[in-house]
Amino acid sequence: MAEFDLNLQSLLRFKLLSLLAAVTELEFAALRDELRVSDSVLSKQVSALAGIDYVRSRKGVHAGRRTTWISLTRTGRRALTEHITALRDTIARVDPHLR
Amino acid sequence: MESSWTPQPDEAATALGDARRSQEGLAARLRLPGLFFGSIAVAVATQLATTAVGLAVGTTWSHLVLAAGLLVFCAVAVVQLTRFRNLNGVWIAGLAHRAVLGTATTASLSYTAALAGAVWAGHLDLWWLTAVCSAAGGIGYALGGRRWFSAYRGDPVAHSRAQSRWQLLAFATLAAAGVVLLLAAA
Repeated sequence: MAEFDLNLQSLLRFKLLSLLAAVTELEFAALRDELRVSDSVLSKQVSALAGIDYVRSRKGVHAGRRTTWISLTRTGRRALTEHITALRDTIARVDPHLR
Repeated sequence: MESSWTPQPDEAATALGDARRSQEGLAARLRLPGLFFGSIAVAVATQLATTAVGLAVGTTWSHLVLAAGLLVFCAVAVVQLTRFRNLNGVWIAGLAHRAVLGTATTASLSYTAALAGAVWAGHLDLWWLTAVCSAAGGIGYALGGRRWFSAYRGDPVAHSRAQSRWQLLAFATLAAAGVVLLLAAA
């Protein structure tokens, strides 16, 4: 049975990883705008997730200015998949049709 | 990481729904640069026509024409992908592989059929037919890319990922085998 990931208990982190799963790489400002958070909040979350090897960040250039590109790691993708399965299991226990 | 934390079913449904909506919102907000698929269609048609000339005529200048066609396609692909990345702040390997490099099924089938037709017509000196096959191949290729982009918007997670190295190697091997066969037939 799939287990919940304590690192993804925060809805913001869960949403952050979900957005990264929909692309290959996302620029810092684009991710900040999608999540509607401040630079400092996003920076803190990215650092925390990078510390446990869930995301990877690299310096790059976007539209002529220096910026940071963020992507999901294999570990992060696996953790996200398992967490989603655990969430679906929780729903299915109440209503199997909602799984 | 295992935890004793267990969300209630309504919390789980909210989290999943929120995540899915944010993915769909991101995919819906992505914009394609102007003439994205139009320029890909023209570049592929040019590449098909120049390849047909290169293989059917078989002289030094025709081989240079073939190389020029490949360069045109590569230049258009790089420019359009860079514009997409700059416009959206997003990189999607699936777009590069399936829509631009043509590994999506519709694009690869259109390309293969059009190339065979264009080269065959070139060997028969039916250059008008080479032009028709090349144009049809370019349009089919671009439509395949557009179809992939619609599918991506419907399910971003399933379509965002790059093709595996083995799949790309298989495509490259098939393409190389096709060129060898065409050269042998010439």
